[in-house]
Amino acid sequence: MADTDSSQRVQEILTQATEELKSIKVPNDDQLEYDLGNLLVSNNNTLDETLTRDPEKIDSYLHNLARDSIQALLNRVWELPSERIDSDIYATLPKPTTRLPREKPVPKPRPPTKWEKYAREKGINNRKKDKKVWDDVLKRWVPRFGYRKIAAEKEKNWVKEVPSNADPFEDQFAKAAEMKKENVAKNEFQRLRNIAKNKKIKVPSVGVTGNEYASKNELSMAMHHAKHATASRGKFQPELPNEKKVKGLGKKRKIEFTTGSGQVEKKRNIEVLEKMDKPSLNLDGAIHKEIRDENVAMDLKRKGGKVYGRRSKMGGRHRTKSDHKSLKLGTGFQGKGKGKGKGKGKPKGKPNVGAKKKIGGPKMQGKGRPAGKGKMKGKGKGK
Amino acid sequence: MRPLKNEETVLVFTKLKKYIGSNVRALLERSDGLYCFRLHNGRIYYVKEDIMKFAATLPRDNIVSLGVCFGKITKGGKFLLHITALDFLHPYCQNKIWIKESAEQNFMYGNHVYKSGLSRISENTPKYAGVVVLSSKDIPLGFGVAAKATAECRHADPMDIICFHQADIGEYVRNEEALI
Repeated sequence: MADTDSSQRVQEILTQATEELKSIKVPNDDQLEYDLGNLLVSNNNTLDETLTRDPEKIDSYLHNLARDSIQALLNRVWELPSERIDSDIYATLPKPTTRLPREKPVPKPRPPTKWEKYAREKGINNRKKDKKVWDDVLKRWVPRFGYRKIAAEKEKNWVKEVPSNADPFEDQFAKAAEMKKENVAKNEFQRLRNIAKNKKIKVPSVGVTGNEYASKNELSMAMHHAKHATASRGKFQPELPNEKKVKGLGKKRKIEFTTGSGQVEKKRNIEVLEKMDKPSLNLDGAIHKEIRDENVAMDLKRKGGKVYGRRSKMGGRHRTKSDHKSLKLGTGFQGKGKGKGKGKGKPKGKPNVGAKKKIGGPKMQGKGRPAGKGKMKGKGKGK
Repeated sequence: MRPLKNEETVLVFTKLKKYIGSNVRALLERSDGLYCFRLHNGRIYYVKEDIMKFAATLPRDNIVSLGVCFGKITKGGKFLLHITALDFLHPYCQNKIWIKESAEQNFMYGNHVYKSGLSRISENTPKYAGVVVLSSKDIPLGFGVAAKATAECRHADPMDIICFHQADIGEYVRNEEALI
């Protein structure tokens, strides 16, 4: 009996569940319009007026309509070719058919240049100039600019008057060419300045470009640069009373692009990973320190001085007692020998017991030490 | 959604390295295309680059999830791995724990692994190493942290904790709404 009861109960639950879950089959799904590329479905059928007028039923009616349409859309999506990436299923959508409005805003018009702004303020209108002008000297129409203008200029200005107040030996042609060059450069500078201003790039106001109307900020920036243009980068420059530090010189945080180059990002990540694997040890620095310490120890050993564990904080070279003595006597300090012999059978500055016998060998620096403990100077060639 | 900063990358990689060691490199250098890590709403996602580019066209507020969520960065600045990362930890992990069938349910309810439930543990597992917990039939159930080294396990009492629970696949049911 219990078995039949439980099986009945199971049947009940199953039927209830199927009632709650709506079918994925949608009636009249051919009447809908699909745009799978945009995941868009639109229903152009007229709505049932009796239902839409009823305030109680309209919500559920529209809800059902929307649900059915989306179900129909998803049925179509499932029919598309799909692939499985990382346990997720991705469908390949066809090209969208509905034209969407543009994603980006309409580009802004070019901002006016400094002259255009000025002209508008003053109400100056650009008159359209003729392409050709009448030349009284040549008695013909000459182009205002461009093709054949230079030729006409040359024809006209074959000779130049020397002004009465000018140097008679000055080349007037060269002077005119120079003037023209400067004019071109000035125009170019103004053009670039307009671009920079529109893009909000800072134009250096320091140095040659000197701006006579520089603001307080610009002047303080100029002062900052001038102050820091010393060998010690302004470390020892005196401060003026109440001098304020210039703002905006800090390092800006660099933000990576979300959709930048994937290869670059991968490289960066691998670099981070490799850095993590490495022990945080400055290998070059450690090696150099070791070599230096060895040199110092060897040097001191050779000189017979006491080996100190630490270097003096005063800096300078290591000197033994005898060095100080010789310094006082005026015989001079002989400096460190090179600790690391470079091989090739040239022992450098090693205490050599047999050194006495060698004639023409390295020069001995006798300092009243017992025989055999003499030192060879730096680059001696011990045979 | 944005790429990780270097500090965040270090944070994520150090945690991953506890589980999969030098195999972190394998996550970056994949033969089947470029994969990248992205931070979105404090969660770290591991995603194929093409899919990430599609997702980048959506407004940030509308993106719920992309790719595979590896975990989240807590407000305290720590990185916590989520169970969703198991698919990538399991094939590469170096230390594993197998548990008895009787202890599986206990673990999947979010409890630690006790010595009594321990079936096997991989050799030379150090103390506090990241481990993947597997069932007796080699199905990955979750991951945690070894509370004892392999050698210590031998002499442990039955009620001693062997592995601290971190995440288990029971969360897919228990914690469904919070998993992304």
